[in-house]
Amino acid sequence: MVNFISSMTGTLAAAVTDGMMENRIFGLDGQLLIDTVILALAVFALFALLSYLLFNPARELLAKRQAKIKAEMDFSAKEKEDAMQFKAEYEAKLKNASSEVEEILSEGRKKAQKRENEIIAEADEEARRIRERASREIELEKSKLKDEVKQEMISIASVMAGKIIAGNIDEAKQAALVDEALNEMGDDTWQN
Amino acid sequence: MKIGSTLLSGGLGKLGVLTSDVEFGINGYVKYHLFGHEFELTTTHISLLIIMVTLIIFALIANRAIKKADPNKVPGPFLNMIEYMVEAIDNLTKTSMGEKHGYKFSNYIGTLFIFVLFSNISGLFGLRPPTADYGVTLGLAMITFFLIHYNGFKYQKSKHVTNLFKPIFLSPINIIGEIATPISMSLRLFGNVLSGTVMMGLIYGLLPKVILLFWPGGLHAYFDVFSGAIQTYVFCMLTMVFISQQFDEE
Repeated sequence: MVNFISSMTGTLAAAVTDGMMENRIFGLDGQLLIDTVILALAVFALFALLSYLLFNPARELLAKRQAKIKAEMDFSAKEKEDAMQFKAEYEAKLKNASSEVEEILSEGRKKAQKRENEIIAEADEEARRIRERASREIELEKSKLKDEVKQEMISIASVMAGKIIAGNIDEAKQAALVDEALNEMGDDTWQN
Repeated sequence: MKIGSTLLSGGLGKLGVLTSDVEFGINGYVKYHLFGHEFELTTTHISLLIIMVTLIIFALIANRAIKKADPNKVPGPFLNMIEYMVEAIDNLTKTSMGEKHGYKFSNYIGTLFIFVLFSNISGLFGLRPPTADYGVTLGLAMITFFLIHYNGFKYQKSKHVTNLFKPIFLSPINIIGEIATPISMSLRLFGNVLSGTVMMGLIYGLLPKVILLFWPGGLHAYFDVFSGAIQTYVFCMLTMVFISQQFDEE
């Protein structure tokens, strides 16, 4: 093959045959073939080394980083979803809060009104009881006073009557007068 | 071979320019024998070795940073850059080759992208870009060619061959089209990078040293960085498109 190429390009390759190659530009000869083979081997070796040392490890690192970023993004998306859910819940709660407040206030008013009514009723009842007790006490005092006055009058009348009678009445007449007085006074006088 | 420098020295010689300082070709350093033939270790192999060692050291540092990294903490600037790079490559392959098959080629396309990009911009660091050697670009294109047909047979079975003869009168064009794929891909990358290398070689060899302190900066930005990045992207995109065409007809 080399001889064939050399024979075909003999005129071009003649300059290299004697001595060292010098300032060669192009030649279709055996040197071209061996250069091609050397280059192919060099590129294959470089391919193997760069794949092992550079491309594959770099790709693995990128894949690891990609997986990590994906995991973080998935986590963030989930967190965001949860946050949105919470937000929706709170917004709904805030919307309902005014009606709840109104309801609570209304309930409070009702309770307060009821309590007020109860207090007023209790106060009325207490006042009524106080009044009744006072009336009873007044009546009792009046009754007591009447009794005292009666007793006083009776005692005075008795004293006066005794003095009068002691002066001009006999014992039989005195007894008839007492009975008459007692009958006139009747039972009602003593019972009040 | 010296055809380029011979042509150049012929042309410049007539203009009376000294061509001894012009250096943009590949030089041999050590001769060795393999299968009865004599080969040489060249500038390309040295550049290739330096670029590979640099990339492996970078990968080791990145691996150490990744191992130490905690996925629960914010990544530092270096780790951020690595993650961005890997994600960008993954997205590119998934966009170009589809969700179903794209991820299987992410590592290869990533390796290809980083290697070709570093090779193209290695001129900034005083190296001769390995992609300015047809042996390198042909090798890259042949890997793509192998991947195209491996996946063609894997997903289309025998149709991968029979489709070449449909319609029958276009068979020669179809077969030439298949063979042309690695040749066009390799020559496109080789030609673009070589043109920048030749331009920079001429400028460094022919212009006075004082001008060289300022002038080549812009040219490096265009030939090495801009053109290098564009050609890297084009090569990777073509690789992805050609391979994914085999899935379309699954």
